[in-house]
Amino acid sequence: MQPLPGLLAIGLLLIVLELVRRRRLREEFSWLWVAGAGAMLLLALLPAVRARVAAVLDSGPSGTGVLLLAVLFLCGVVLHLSTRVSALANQSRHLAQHAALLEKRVADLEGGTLEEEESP
Amino acid sequence: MSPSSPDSAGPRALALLPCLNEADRVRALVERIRALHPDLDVAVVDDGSTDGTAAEARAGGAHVLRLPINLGYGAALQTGYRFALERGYERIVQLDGDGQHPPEEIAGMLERLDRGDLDLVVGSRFLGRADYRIPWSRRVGMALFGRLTGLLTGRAVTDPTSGFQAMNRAVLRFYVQDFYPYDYPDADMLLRVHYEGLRFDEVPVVMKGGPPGRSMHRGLRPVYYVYKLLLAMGLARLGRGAR
Repeated sequence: MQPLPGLLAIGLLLIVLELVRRRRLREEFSWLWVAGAGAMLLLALLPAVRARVAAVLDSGPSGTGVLLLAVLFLCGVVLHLSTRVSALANQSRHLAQHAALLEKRVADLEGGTLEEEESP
Repeated sequence: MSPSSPDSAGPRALALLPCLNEADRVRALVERIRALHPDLDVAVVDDGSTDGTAAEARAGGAHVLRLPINLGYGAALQTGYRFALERGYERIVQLDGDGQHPPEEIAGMLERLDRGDLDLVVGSRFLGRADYRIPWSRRVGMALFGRLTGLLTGRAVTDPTSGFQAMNRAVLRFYVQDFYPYDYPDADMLLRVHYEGLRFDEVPVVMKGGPPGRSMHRGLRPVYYVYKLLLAMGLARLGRGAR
């Protein structure tokens, strides 16, 4: 077993669970981090798996194969979050446009104009 | 002065002005448009201004659509397109809220649109006259994108970044879809219009310089702009109308 990566994986797992418990991380995004921390823990605990991964990636015993996996994992997370942010931006656009059109309709129905709100 | 009732059988043409912090000039601009074109309604889309733009536009007699947050030039325009469709306007002409597009040019653009052989009319400062000095870097960029758009559409395009446009409902319906960009709808949109089978052409117009220090082409933005436009044009070409 490699103690440092193992401890880091356990630490990451605990942080993720705590963030979910405090509602600062949604379950739908937490699974990626739980899976990542789990994989990290598995590799730290089981040298045979680590060796097997290194062999599959043809990276030798220096650990570059595991590093490559970590980079790929982070790329996956970033891509996933980027697509989510893009979807959210689209939803925000629709909401803001809808709000503007509704406000205009209300102002017309009230026969005047809505009071100006204090600008942020 | 107040805008005509949207439910009446009033004017079916709309002047659309996206504005961000234009409180100093939007009222005069709206009043100028209304004085020149009494048959035209004016809508100002306030893109999250913090300076009383909405109140000034309303005082000038415009319909005002206030976005609760700053979405960007393209998204502000799209809000106006939705409004125009919802209220049944048959054609719109869009102008920048900073006064770069003189209201005196509106008549010519709408007249061209009314001939019925075009869906979208683009005002070109290079067929007409630009009343200000355009930086050489921007001029090169415009020429490049104009040439590229011309190659892909098979027609000469002299001012592919012009936001001074008049359009009918077919284009409005096309533009309210999700592919419409938040920031700068330029040559990529002309390509999409072309691939959609809609007809566009340019007419000569005079343009003035915007207020100093207000250009959207500052810092690293031109680099991003070139990237974004090339990407969007490439995707429009590949997608050929895919949305």
